[in-house]
Amino acid sequence: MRMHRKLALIGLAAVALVATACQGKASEDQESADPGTKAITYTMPAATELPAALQAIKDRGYINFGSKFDQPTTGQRNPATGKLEGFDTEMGRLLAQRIFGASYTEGDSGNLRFVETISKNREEYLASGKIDALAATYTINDERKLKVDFAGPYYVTGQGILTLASKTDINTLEDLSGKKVCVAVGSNSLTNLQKLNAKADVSAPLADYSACREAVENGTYDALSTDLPILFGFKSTSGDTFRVSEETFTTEPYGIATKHGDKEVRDFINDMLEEAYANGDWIKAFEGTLGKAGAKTPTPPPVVRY
Amino acid sequence: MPNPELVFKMFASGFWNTLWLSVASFAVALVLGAILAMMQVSPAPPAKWAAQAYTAFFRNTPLLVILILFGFGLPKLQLQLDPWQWALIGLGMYTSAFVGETLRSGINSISLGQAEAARSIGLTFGQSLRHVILPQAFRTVIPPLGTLYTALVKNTALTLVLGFQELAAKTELMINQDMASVWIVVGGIIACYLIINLPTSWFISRAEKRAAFAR
Amino acid sequence: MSNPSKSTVLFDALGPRGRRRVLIYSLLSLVVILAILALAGLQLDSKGFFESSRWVDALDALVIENTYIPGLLNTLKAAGLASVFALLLGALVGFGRISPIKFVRFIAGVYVQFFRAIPVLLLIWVPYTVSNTTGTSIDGFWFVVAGLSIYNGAVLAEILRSGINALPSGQAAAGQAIGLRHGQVLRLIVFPQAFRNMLPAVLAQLVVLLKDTALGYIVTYPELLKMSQQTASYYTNSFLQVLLVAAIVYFVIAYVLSKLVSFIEVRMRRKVPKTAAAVTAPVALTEA
Repeated sequence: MRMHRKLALIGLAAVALVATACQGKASEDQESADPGTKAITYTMPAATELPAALQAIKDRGYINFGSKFDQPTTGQRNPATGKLEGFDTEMGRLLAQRIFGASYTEGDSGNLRFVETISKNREEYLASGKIDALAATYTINDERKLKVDFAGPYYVTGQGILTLASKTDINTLEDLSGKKVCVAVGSNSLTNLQKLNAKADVSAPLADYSACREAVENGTYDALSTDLPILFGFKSTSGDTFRVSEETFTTEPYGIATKHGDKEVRDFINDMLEEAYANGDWIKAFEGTLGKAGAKTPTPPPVVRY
Repeated sequence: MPNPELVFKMFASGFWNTLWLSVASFAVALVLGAILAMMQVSPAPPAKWAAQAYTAFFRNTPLLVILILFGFGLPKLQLQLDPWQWALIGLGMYTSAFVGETLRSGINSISLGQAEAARSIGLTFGQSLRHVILPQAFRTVIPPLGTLYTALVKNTALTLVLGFQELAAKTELMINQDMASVWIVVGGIIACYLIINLPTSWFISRAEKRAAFAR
Repeated sequence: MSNPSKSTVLFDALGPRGRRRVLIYSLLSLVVILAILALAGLQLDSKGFFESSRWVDALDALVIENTYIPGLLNTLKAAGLASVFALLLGALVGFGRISPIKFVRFIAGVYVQFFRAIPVLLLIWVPYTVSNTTGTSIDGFWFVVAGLSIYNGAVLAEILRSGINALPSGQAAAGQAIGLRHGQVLRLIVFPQAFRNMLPAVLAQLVVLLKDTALGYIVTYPELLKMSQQTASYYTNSFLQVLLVAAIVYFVIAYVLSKLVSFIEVRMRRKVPKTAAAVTAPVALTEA
């Protein structure tokens, strides 16, 4: 009995020692911080007039913005700094700057508060008011327009395929026939595959894409299929492990979603997007995130107002 | 667009997977647990320590952590196995720690007098084990093992994180793809677990009563 | 038990030859175990497991501060609140199980049998999924707390019932003989004594509750496991290392707590006269 207590204490002490030893390394890291994690500065001017819903948000002092927390280059939380990084989160930052001005603050008690949204609960969180707006690789489609409002699109992409670099035989939608494909439960990508290639085996989806990424790396699945930005994110943060087939077999226009039924808010955000297209902020956001992951900067898609 | 035939097939497949996984992992757990118990009662201290370390690790770490560690982490060391194999290994090893403890207390609960009496009438080690010790230990050990099996059946639900298509995973798919009303799906999965577990607990309480009577 | 010179159930007391054999076996098994460990270590090393670049991120102080610790605090928050509710529910249902009113006994019995037969995961995850489809969005935290409270309430109710039943029936009978009502018998005579017996099993179950907070992962409650998995996804080379750190943290917490529980049990045994058997560990032990 005493031996075990000693061992436990030694173990604890060892962990504590290692942690303090790493303290030094961490502060070094902060000084030569990865330039990607430095904030991107925008020239977006604050709006002079706000629709009622957004004025209420401004008076309240903070906006709850939904984002993914675990998708590289589109919406990912940095465990060391606690900040979110990614193209979708930059849309949130542009919106916050538009509402609160360039001096807005981020964080749990700041003006811009990010809330983790996963594929399953995007609409519910908007409907219940848990979030005010979201950008989370959320495709605009008519079905969803019945439940939420969309501004944008702010990016148009498509569903593609990711595999291990060594698997060169899977390149197109047809190649997925009979292969085990990993997708996220309840995602658009899953239903797309069921519609477009019923022979692809999507019978065992996992909880989210980061789990899929691990499973594909481990060889448990033959391929991962979802939107290109997510795939590029995984590819670019994993050295040479993966390859992405750039042939897309769907069109996915991403939108910023807000609570259903407020045209003024939609127009406001569309105005913001057009401003970002014009003054170069959109390009800055793209190049700072997706561009670094290897995507070529396209011309921003024209917003669709309805 | 509810499709009753498809829903039934999903339930049946999930039920079957849950059932065979629980039985197979329990078999693994019994074998490993017996080895552990042997190591714990052996007079060689290193064997005891190894068994105690193994038991301490698996009893104090949450099963979900172990499953994720095994199913997603170990393959990074190029140990490629299918999800069901990791589920089996993870569940089996986890439960074996508890089985080992149960078997060990079962053996220890036999009073020394029994073994001494057996030896004093000239039975060999093997004979005293087979005719005196194990039958009594067996009766003591059945109810806790039954409880462990019930716990194991419930724990199979956690393997859904590995993509293993047992009941909970199938249920999630059915709800997400609107295959049937949520209440039917939920009622179905609850019914499936009750079908497996209620008979087991009834069996355990009967065995407990018989064991108490026999003593 | 490990003293070779005493008789045990399986082995006779050992003489000099026996002791020598045991020594040889001990050395042999030590060598075998060390060999296995060494082999495992080499195998891990060849796959780059011990590379410091993989461990630096897993143990980075900023990560600990901004991710592990908030995760751990969330774990403790959920465990704490769920423990309180579970104890309340457990007491309520447990006393219901031994109520003189048959109907109350029946309802409590159904509660216990039902909630112990289905996985805790379902109790957390089904309400979460159902509430999502109906459009409300309650925080994952409440589902974790509710699920854990309901399940552990059932288990604690059983522990309460066994604790009370383990008391010699003479105690309750004496109480009734001097004219106390059922409730008074429970409150004044039975419960205070049974409490001592049950305490270790109750505490052990609360440790199990703490481990079960890891299930919050499935409803994306940001407890330790979820936060660790997020970290592991961010540092793509350190997946195994980060998860191991998480596993070790859980292990240390649960291990220390269960040793504390044994310590309490031992100290209480010394004080309690041997009138009532302690509630046997297997109830808590097997609630895996």
